[in-house]
Amino acid sequence: MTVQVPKGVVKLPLILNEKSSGVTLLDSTANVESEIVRFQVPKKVGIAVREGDRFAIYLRTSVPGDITAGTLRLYVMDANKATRFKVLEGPLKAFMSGSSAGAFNVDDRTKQFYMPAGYSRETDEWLIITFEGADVADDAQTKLLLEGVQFLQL
Amino acid sequence: MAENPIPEEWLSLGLAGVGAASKATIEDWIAKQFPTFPAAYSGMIAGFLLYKYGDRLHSYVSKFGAGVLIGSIGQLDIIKGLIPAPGGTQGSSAESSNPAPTVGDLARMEAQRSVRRGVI
Repeated sequence: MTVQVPKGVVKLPLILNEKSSGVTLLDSTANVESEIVRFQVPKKVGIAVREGDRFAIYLRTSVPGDITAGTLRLYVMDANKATRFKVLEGPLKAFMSGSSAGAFNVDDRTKQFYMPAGYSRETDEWLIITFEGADVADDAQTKLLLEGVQFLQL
Repeated sequence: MAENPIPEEWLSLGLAGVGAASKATIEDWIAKQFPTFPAAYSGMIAGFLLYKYGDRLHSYVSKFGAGVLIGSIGQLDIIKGLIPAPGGTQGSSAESSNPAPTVGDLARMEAQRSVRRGVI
């Protein structure tokens, strides 16, 4: 069955970074799994991250100094955060794209992390990234890149 | 004898139209008389019988029956499924009467796709 995009819906690239509208950054708490990135899907929008889309994150302390140890997790949640699914979990370094010394290394394709499977969110639902590690990630230092596509109902 | 002021072909067409418009009433009546009979086909059968044997009463009855028959065929799911609903997709009537996919539906479908990456 072919699916026609209905009138009034546009498909656009989605490139989330730390400055994107709707993205909220937070400090982490030492040795506690804490939310460091929140993204709530805007009204009349659906987003999809596909298998093979790129994800990168770079965390630093307030000093600033690189954070390389700890566990990063990515969750998708419903609008009320009542139900959540863990999409990614792994050592922070796996998602850093080789970033260091203040350089967010997203241009080296050999060091990128690509999503092993796709997922989607719709209006008001959440993407949440948590970090658990001894170092405290400073929100002002956080760098983020998440690729995908978005559907906008006009 | 005065000439009929309405041309015969227009009268036939009008009677067929009245027959098509009346098919729901006829189907309802049959459904009440014969509750176990499949409603989707009752109009067709009634229309066919009227078309076939209506001439014995009057030629207009036969034309009325033809309208009932054609109207009933047009309402069959298999026929409706051939006509795409506005903003929808072609398929069965159940599909064509579905609302257009939402942005959430589209995102879910898109998430099943994979992004090809060139070999580095």
